[in-house]
Amino acid sequence: MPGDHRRIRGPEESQPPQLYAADEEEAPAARDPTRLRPVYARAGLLSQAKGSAYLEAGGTKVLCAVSGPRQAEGGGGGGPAGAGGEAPAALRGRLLCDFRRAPFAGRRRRAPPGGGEERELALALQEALEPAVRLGRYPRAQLEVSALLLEDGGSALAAALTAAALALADAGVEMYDLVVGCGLSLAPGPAPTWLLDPTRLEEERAAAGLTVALMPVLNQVAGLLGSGEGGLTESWAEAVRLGLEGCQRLYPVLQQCLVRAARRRGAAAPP
Amino acid sequence: MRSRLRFHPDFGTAAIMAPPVRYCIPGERLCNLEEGSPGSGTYTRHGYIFSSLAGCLMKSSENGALPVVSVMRETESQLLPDVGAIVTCKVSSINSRFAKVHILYVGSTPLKNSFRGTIRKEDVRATEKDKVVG
Repeated sequence: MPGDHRRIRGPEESQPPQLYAADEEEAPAARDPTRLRPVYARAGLLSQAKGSAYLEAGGTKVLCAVSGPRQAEGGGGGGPAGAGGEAPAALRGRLLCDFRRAPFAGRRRRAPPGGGEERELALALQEALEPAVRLGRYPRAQLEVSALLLEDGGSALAAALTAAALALADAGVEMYDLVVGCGLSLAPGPAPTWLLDPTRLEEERAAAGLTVALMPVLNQVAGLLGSGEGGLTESWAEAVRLGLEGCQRLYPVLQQCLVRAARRRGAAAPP
Repeated sequence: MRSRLRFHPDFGTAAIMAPPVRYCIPGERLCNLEEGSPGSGTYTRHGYIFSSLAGCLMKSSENGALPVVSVMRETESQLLPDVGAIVTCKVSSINSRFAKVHILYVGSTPLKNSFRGTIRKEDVRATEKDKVVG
């Protein structure tokens, strides 16, 4: 309306802002499919937790803390003594794993109750760590492992697995072996190849993803979690083999990290 | 070997330091079962002794028998109440059938997290079990 001074009129035409936004994400550059990002690992950094570890691989940052052993809940103690001849399974210790994603971990802020994904990853953590921990030495006790993902730069579950194993070793929990995790993703395209240790960009565009957990000295696979359309079975087998090689290559770094942490502990508390 | 004074670049003039401590991590293969017998903090598999903890390796040289290979951590490993252990408890509630207790000490070491236990009326004494009053 001509001469309307009570309203502020917007422009006649408007375009969506995306038109003007800079093209921020190019396709990830071609790279050697078996390259592992340099890893920084440090154990024994939290003073309040029994054991802790921090792992950084590329952009992925995970912090893990272990506490316990404490009384197992649910049938641990209290009521009148049950009948004799308890099954040995009830006497084994338990491992309670918790995986949490910080709200600032991804591109968009995510509220803490992350829903099913965090529960599934926590279950994967527990399944992979259980074969490595000597739970028979902790009867009727539970160990609590909590992993916090500070930044997701790709293969977050693998980093969490490795950090959790380091934290357990740092806490003095008896283990058969360390657990090393490695992530893989299948790059889509005319010739799909499996990429070791994908970045977040590669993971987002992947057709399939896989996380392998290996106990290096015993050479046993502790956990395997994969999803997506990988095609042939041989392709998945190839991916598992690649992942296991990657885990073996990562092992010396973790060895050094634990030895350094033990040395630091020895220097701090002279016998 | 007598200890002699020696100049060391980092520590200055001092007595000869103790042999370097060897640290090991869980899953590290320590030695053959023929060279040592497993102690605390280790486990055996396929005829080898592996470490189970992240700590210092100790080899106790015995006379005659095999040296005992064990892995020690600086802090005392958390003891758990187990069968045959002597524990000190504090009673938290009493019932006509049983008493609930908190286990505070295992042997003479205090526990960081207390465990719960039960003492049944029948287990209090060996004779005259039915005469125990709750």
